[in-house]
Parts: sequence; C-alpha cells; structure tokens
Amino acid sequence: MLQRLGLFLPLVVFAFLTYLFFQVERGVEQGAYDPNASPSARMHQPVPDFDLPLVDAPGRFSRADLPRQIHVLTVWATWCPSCVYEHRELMKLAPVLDVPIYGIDYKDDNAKALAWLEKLGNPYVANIDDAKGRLALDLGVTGAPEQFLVDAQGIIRHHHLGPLDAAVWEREFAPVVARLRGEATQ
Amino acid sequence: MSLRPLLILLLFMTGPTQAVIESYTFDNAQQEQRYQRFIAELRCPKCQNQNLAGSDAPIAADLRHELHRLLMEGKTDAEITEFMVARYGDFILYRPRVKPETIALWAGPALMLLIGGLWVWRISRRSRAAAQTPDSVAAAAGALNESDRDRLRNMLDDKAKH
Repeated sequence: MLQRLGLFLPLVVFAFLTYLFFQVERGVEQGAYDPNASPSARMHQPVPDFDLPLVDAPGRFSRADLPRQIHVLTVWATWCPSCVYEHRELMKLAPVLDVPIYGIDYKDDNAKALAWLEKLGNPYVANIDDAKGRLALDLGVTGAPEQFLVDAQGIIRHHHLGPLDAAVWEREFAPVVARLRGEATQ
Repeated sequence: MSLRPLLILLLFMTGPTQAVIESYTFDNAQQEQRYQRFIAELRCPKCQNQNLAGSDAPIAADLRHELHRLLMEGKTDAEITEFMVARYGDFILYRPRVKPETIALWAGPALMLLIGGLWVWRISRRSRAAAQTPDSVAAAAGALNESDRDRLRNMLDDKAKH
C-alpha cells in the first residue's frame, strides 16, 4: 500500500513546483520580486574617485567637490529616451526637494547636452561630463537613467535603475533619506 | 532529393554565432585567447542573458574596452575578475565563484546525480529480485503434470484444426 502511495510522488513534486511558480509569479506582479533586478555592487561604498569636466561650465569637478550633505547623482544622456521623461520629472522635483541633484552626462555629445539644457531647463546643481563613461563604469552603471543616493560622507546608500520621478522618490529614496537623517541627529 | 542529407547536416553545423565587430590588437595570441574567454564568460549587465561577446549595448562595449585595457596593462585573470565584480557584483560572472552563497549551484548537480543514481540502483535491484520470483513460484507450485500437458496439447491441436 505504501509503495502505491509512492507512485503519487511525481504528482506531489509537480504540485510543489506549480505552487513555487505561482508564488514567484505573484511576487513579480506585486513588485515584491523583480527578476531583472541586479544587486548593486557599489552599495554602502564610497563614490569612486573621478576628475571630469563640467557640461555647462568651465573647470573640472572631482569627488572632493561633491557636497557634504545627502545628494543624488543621476546618470542621463540626450540619446536616452526615458531620460526625457526623467528630466521633465526632475524639473518638478528639484525645486521642492531638499536634496540637491547632480547630473552625470553619460557618453554624450557636449553640444547636444548644452542644447538640451538650454531648451528644457536645468534641474541640476552641477552636471559632470562623463563623455567616455569611465565614472559610470566605476559606479557600476548599466545604462541610463540611473540614480545614486549619496550620504554626507560620500557613501552610496541607494542605487535605482530607471527614471526617477515623484513616485520612485517617495517609495525608494525618501525612506533612505529619512533613515540617514534620523541616524545623523542621534 | 539528394540535397536533403546535406541540408540536414548543415543544420547541425550552425553554432550560436553572435558577435560584434570590433578590432582590438593584442601583443600575443595568448592575450587574445584570454580576451575571448573573458568576453564569453562575462555577462552583459544591461541585457541580462547575453555575454559581453554577443551584446551591442553601450555598456558592453565599454566593458570590452576596459577588459582590453586591463589585459594590455598586464593584469592577471584574478585582478580582472575582481575589477568586474567590484563594479557589477557576482551577477556579471557566468561562472560563479565558489563561496557559501553559490555552493548550491556547484554542489547541486552532483547531489542530484547521486540521488538519481541511488534511486535507479534501488529500482534495478528490486526488479532483479522480482525477476527471480516467477521461477521460484513455479518451482514451489510444481511444474505441469503429465495429464495437464496432454490437455494443453489437445487444446492447441483443436485450435490449429479450425
């Protein structure tokens, strides 16, 4: 009799795998699990050293020029479609956020970038011209747009892939900022 | 008609040939070999199921460029792997390193093979035991006696006549 029950073992395994499949599927739908998410290797590490020209100003910008307060580094480019969306969102966000936004113009043509800022406005405190993409590569960027939330000590505290907008800010960035400020006042 | 075997043969001769056209120069063949091995085994961080060799994403081009630079600088394989992992995590390695998080990946297949092997061994042992049973049953019951055999022969003969 017990051996007969053993015949149902494949069915039990199948049922378990089906359950597993739908659990993952539900996780994806609810946003709890993202199959495309890649863990950022640069989390909780300092911003890598760099020394690059600025897009819209003379002079150079290095890691030492980053502010001693919580700020956002956002990687953008004129060739990147969702950067158009992000730029529009940043124009709305920048005036109301108490966190300065720094741009990293990634593998872009300087003339095009200048025209873009001229036409669409400039939400960035400063815009770093990473024409060769070396800084982005050191940051572990996979494309544009991507953002890094950096704390007052220059440590990366959050890495987001995709455009930054108000909803993403509220969901992913604001809690980290609140936590960092909470720690700072203690 | 005679082309068919040839066509079928051709079908098997097509390998996964995806490659981007870029020209890098190397000092020696060994360097180039290492380059080819790295771009085959490093994963493109942007387009997740392609290696660096097959991807034309800008980041993949940058990483190939960096890889070439590191090779020309005389970096060792371990240093190059470290460079890539520091930026893109273990994710970038198609051949994961052996560590506590990846032990299931490395030991899993061997474990499965062991379990499967044990299972097959058990089944084959049981069927061998079963194969021996009918003989012993027959022996215990005694073979057909003479009158049984006559009856059987008559039945078969009757059937043959019809």
